[in-house]
Amino acid sequence: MKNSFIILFLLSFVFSSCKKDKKQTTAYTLLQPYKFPVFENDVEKGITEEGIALGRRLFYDPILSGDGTMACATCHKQEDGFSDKRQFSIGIDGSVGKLQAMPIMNLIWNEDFFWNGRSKSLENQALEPVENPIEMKAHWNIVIDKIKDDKVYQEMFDDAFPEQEITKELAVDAIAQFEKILISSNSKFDKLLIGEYAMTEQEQRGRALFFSEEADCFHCHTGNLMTDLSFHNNGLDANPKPGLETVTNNENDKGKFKTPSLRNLAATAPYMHDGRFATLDEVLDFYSSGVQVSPTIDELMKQGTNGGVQLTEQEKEDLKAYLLLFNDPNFLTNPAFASPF
Amino acid sequence: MKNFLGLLLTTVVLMACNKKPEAGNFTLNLSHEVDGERLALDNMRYSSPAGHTYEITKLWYYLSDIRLIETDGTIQNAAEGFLVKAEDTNTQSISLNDVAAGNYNKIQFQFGISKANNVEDYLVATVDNQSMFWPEQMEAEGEKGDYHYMKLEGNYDSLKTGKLNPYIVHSGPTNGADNSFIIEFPLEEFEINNNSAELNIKVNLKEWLQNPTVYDFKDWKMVMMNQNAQNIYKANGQSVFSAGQLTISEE
Ligand code: HEC
Ligand code: HEC
Repeated sequence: MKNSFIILFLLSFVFSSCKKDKKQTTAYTLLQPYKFPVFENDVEKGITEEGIALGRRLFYDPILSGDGTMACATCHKQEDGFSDKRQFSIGIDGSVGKLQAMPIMNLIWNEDFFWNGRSKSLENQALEPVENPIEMKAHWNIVIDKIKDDKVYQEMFDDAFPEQEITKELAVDAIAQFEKILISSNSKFDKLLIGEYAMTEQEQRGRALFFSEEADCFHCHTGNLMTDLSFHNNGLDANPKPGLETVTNNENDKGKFKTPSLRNLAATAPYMHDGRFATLDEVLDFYSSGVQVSPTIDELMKQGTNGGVQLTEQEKEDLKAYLLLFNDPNFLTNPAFASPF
Repeated sequence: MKNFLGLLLTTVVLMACNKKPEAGNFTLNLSHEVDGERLALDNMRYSSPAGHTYEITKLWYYLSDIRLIETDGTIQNAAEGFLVKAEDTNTQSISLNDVAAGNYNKIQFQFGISKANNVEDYLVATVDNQSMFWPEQMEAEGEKGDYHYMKLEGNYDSLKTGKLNPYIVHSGPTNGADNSFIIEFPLEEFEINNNSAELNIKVNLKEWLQNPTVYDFKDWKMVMMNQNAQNIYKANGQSVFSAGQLTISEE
């Protein structure tokens, strides 16, 4: 009895070590940039070199669209901060949307996606554009069939997700892994924090305005991400569009849109959810004297009833100089983020 | 071999017999009220002591440095800051694990963050904590940045006038002054020994606007950079919190 038990025990050892090793993936370590928020809820876990490579290819591959002409990158261009120069996105069949494509940067810290926050994860977000009739207008099952027939993808999926069947869930998992590493943290402002850049006098004046109680940009465009990742009505319209209300069904949320980051503004024009402002000057004119009051306008738009914070031309220039400190040329040209094709 | 089994059994038995008192958990449950009613955000239906109709659209604040005090005066200190958000019930229950065994009869905590602790590294740099950070450039010369204690925002009288009247109460260490304060409750004596204790705390938000000083939204456009307004908040805050039921459950 004793002996047979021991033998059994030993045998099981031998067997488990003999079992053919599953292919290994290479973990990718994402570092938290200096003075950036910590990663929460393990979002930085489970990213692999192979997953990123696959996600990057999918992001740039028109195979995801109905007629093979459009990739995610068609509307999210690296040199534009992964956003779109066109005011509205145009789908494969020429349909014109009503919204401006959002930049894809530093999204690993986000929990709500789209202007109205209807999606709660990057993976879930990536499911939508593929089937959206005014965007890529495809069907996931057809897309997945095409991918399964493709030799390169067969290999890349097997590298990233060994021994798993190719599914849309794995495809968006890989796309999300690629999006998570799109981190912009190398602007003059970041250099300032580590003592490698000194602000000009104009930038300093702009900074003081940004943080002043009157202009009060910093309460919504918060911290190093330059966004509080929340939803506000910043007073664009007297009769605002629903925005967050579509998702919450709460009329108090009418006109609230996701606060955009103010990083890489030089690359992300046009501005606002509907791309109504072509230049930063127009944005600053709006905050200065174009603010419209509506029942849900944010309390932090303190000068809303006066039409805005009433900046002088000099102050607008100063503020603009400060905002442009957040441009990150490295991010816009980093070859690791560029098309693999 | 037999001996070994015997030894194993004895240790198991010994471990089970061990009567040394063990640490337990302590939880603070906060319930936010206005006029005895559960707080409803975005609801223009409260009346302020100064005679305004008002609503609350945002309430975020820190409680920190929770101290449970034993009957012999020993202080068990959880030197952490907790961000409470009115819209997120998960944040309204603050649990301290591994509270040392003992007999307790008092609790203290800090509203906001004390001057000694109010430095950037005190709190984990989550997105929420960063958005409560009051940057250096708003401070007097030589002061470092620090955290707001509370962001209380809303509108008043907008119904009557049809015009939006926002109020924003951002309390914090204006120019480095310590405007945080200690709240203390005596408690019925209870024992922590491998069990959990829960204390309900009522947060009567109306008290921020009265007792001892009536706070009129109209008079105070900015709280943040105004030490007089901060003084009112510091004094009125004492009656905002009151201790309710203490429940002990054995584990
Ligand atoms: C036809 C243009 C177009 C294509 C193609 C497109 N997008 Fe977008 N993207 C947009 C627009 C417009 C929005 C904002 C839409 C909204 O809020 O409803 C957006 C929003 C997003 C967001 C949300 C960002 C945030 O801050 O919340 C992400 C992430 C994103 N797209 C990723 C992708 C991915 C991944 C693909 C490919 C699978 C893709 N997009 C394809 C136009 C496009
Ligand atoms: C109440 C919160 C709030 C305040 C205060 C605020 N913003 Fe905004 N900001 C937003 C929101 C929300 C949007 C997007 C609105 C939309 O598209 O509907 C936005 C958009 C922008 C954009 C366009 C970004 C893009 O990529 O489209 C810029 C630039 C900007 N804000 C700069 C500023 C400046 C400068 C200030 C201070 C004068 C300021 N904001 C104050 C909330 C705020």
